[in-house]
Amino acid sequence: MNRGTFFRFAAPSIIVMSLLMVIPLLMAIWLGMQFMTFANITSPQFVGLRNYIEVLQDPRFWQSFRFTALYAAIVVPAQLVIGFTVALLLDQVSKFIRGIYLSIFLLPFVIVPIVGTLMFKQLFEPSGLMAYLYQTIFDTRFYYSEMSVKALVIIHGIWYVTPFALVTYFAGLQTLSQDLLEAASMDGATRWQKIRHIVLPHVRSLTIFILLISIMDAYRVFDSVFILTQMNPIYKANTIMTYTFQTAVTVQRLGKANAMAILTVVGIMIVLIPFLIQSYKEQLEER
Amino acid sequence: MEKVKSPLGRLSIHLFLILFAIYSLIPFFWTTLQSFKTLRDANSRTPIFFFTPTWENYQTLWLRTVPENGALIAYFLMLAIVILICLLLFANYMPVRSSLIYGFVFLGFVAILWGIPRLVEVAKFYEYFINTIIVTVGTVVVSISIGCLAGYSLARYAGYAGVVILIAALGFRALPRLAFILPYYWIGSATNLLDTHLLVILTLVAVNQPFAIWMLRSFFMDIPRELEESAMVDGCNRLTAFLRVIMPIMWPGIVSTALFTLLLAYNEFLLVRLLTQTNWTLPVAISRFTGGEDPRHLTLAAAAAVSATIPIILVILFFQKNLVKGLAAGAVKG
Amino acid sequence: MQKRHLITLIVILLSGFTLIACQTDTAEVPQPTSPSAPAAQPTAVEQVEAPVDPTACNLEPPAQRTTINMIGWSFPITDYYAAELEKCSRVQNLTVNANLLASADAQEQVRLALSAGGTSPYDIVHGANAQVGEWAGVGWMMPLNDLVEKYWDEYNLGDIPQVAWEGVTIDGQIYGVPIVGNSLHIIYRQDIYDQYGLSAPETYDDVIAACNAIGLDNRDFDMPFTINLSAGWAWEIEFFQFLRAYGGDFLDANNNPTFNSEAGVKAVNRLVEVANACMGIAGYTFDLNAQEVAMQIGTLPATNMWASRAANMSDPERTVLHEAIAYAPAPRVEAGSPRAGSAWNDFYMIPANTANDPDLIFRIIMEAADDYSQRGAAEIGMTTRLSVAEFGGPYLAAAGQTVAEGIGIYDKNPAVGIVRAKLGQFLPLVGTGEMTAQEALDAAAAEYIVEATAQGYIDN
Repeated sequence: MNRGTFFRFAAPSIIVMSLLMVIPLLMAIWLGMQFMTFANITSPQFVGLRNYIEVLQDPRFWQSFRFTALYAAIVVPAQLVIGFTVALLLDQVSKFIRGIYLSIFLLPFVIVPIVGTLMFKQLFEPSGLMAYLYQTIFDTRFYYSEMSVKALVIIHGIWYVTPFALVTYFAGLQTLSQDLLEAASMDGATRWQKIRHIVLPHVRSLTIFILLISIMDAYRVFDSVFILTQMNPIYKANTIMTYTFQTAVTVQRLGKANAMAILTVVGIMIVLIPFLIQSYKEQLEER
Repeated sequence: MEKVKSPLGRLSIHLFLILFAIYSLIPFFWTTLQSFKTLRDANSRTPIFFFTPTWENYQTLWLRTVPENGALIAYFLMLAIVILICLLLFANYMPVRSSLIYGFVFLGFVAILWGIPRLVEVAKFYEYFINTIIVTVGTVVVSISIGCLAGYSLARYAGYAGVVILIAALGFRALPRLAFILPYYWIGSATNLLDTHLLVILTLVAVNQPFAIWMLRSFFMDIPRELEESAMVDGCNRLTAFLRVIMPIMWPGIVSTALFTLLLAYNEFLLVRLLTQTNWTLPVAISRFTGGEDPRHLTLAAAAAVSATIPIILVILFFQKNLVKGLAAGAVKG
Repeated sequence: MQKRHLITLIVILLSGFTLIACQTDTAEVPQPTSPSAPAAQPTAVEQVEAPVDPTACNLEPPAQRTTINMIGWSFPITDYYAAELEKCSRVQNLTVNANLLASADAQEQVRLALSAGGTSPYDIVHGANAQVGEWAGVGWMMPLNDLVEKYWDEYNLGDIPQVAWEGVTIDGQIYGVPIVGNSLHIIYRQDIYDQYGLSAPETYDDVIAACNAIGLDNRDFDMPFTINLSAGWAWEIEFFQFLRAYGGDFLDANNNPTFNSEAGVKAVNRLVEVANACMGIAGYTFDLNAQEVAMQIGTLPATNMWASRAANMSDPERTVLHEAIAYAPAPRVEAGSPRAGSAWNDFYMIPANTANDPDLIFRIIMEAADDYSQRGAAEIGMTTRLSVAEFGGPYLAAAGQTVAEGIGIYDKNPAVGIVRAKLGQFLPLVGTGEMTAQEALDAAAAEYIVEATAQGYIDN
């Protein structure tokens, strides 16, 4: 395909992405340098880098960063482990049942996050099933506190993203070569040895892929925290995204919110760039 | 791997899977139960599993007044939907061309959705449901159209520009919504497009493009170049070859990508909340019940949650294989 | 694929027909948002000869197709009014949409929508006292003096008391129509209080004594008494009441903060004292819904709660205990102080930049605020018209007394909006012990000064 045809084909997509992703990003950087609230939204005041510095010095920003990091640190490994285990187990059952299980397991991942969080929350309301079980087992009433709300957010996170890891691992397992496994059996390898030495290396690139996607998603978690915490500062369970939202809409510092969003972008890029570079090299090789 | 032989092993495998299935389903189960309870039953501290079910939550949500001949209307609608679904499933067996059938079914559904408010006095929730359908369908159609073109060209072009675009897209995919939303609001109010479906569709298409072109590209790369090259030798230009030869083969891949785009558009909360003031979609409409303003919202929220989930469940039931394939394709190709 | 689809189809069919068959047995859906007064079903056949139905929307159709959008938040009486507004959609050429969200979200939407200038997407905005200063004070809302005067007699607007109109008047300009009254007062279980030998508390000392008598660890109840400290705005509202009751105020004449004065610290410490004696750590996250439900199922002996929720206490659909529930006005912070209860109103306001005819919008609001509508609303909340007070619930006396002997209305100064936001950020941290009262108030004051100076409310 020649260059002209390429650009003709790709033009609509490129135009949409430049207009609605590149330009807004640049705008956000510029907006981050303004002092803007709802009162002066049409005539903001240029303040240079003050917003950016303010964000970096804001203790609540770092607090939300810490909780986001905690969230990622628990949810990502958990989903890898659970997803891999269940994928292995699914491999063991017959095809027909597998289909049913897959449909069931996919459900938390495909429903509207707001709805999923709402359903999750209803389990823990005073009238909820889980609250009742908690009371029967631990003999104290379940009530929302910093610990319990953070735990809820994290548990919901695991519930919500595990299907992604699960299905990806499952698909990866399907491409495992049976010959290799049979050869290993003939050499007398136990099941555990086979898993450690054949299956795990095979899914290594998958694991990296899932790891990357889920870390990126953990950075961006919003809907569930929004519903579960109702933005109450007492829980100290703000994530970066909810704190940015709060800064924009409740505290009404739009410039600062933009600055925060841009700094988050920078943070994500730092993690992402090595991977991007590697991807670039791979793509060039594939040419 | 070879199957576990011991009966104890097999038992524990099934047990574990069943437990995991329960764990996945418990929120749905409980919320569905709550949605059919009266307020007194729903608020009981001890969960009630045996109760007299009532439709009132769904009725308050969807209808303004219950019509006199409600059962008759419901039968009629059910019948119409069933006929349309039958046509859809058996399209290949009809003496008429299947594309005509698909078109007719599509028009039939549109007619039903348009006709319901004229038969029954519906509440706001129905309107939000229609908004969701418009936004979702619009996003899928536009996103897949331009995404296919871009994905195909990225799969076939060997130059640097292609790689740059791909990597840039990957980078953009990682970015949080909030980085874009305030500029979008700015753009929206400057172009006076705030609160229109168009703005929401365009922004959703843009946000979804990186994912779409990566996925479609990986599907396109699976198709050998010889196919369109032989068509071009026969005299087609690139575009015709693409449409006539490649697209029909690509159909499963397109369906997979379309599914993910559909989920993205259906589930979007933040963009819709900040860019629209009255034309809300279901996620935003449901957030009305999350503020703790009225205990009655407990059962109404449950009914709303179930109502919003049913279309998605139907989607999974019909397209589960495509979803899995899509996730797999994304993974295996990196 | 064929077989599975067929099976799914059959399942859908069967479940659909079964569910419909069940539905034919249920009676008319109990619509809590429609009035119990006889409502005429709009059947085309009888329209010609029927007398004018006062509960329907009786407006002349506008000349062109008009859509009116309202934004507000949802609790029983406002849901009722929203439904009344939407009744006007039955008028030809007119569509009225009520867009309802949770309260904080609705307020955010209004800020977003109206701050950008340009035509307002909303024609009717639901706001309470706290929003009057924030929105009308900066010019986002339209003064309604002419319309109020024009329709004063037709809709008997004198029926709405002066103090309600005061809440939405700034410098003589009326910015909205009061539709809901509200206040915070005591709701308690007469039988339980009799059992423990307690009477309705008159001051917060009595409240604490009652809590000690019932006991924080009492297994029969969630907690002995609740006030709402479950969110930033909840803290701010209670703080305001206590602050005023101790003689303090948010700002002075130059918009400098005075809420971090001695009165403010006393107010916060008193709140914490009550919370510790009566609620414990769980009380800081025990939200209003949970409190209301706890009252209704009997796990809460007493609470200081909104009158609008008191209306639900006599609803047999929600509770079997309505016979045992009694009402008392809000307690005083200490003997001799005003009652710690404010005079709240909710209003329907009209944005200044609406594209539609303000006269039409006003009349639509009136259709929702007229005698008949309020008569129906009186069952589910505290209405504003004095003439329908007799239809109200048993809590009205307590609410009325709170308003009469309480701390009055919110200041309509737009700078107060900033105060509220800052207080909402810092006050909850006092509950967890992370900050002392003075620290939290000072932090809020510091941020307020920065904000208010930048927005021009404080001259430097």
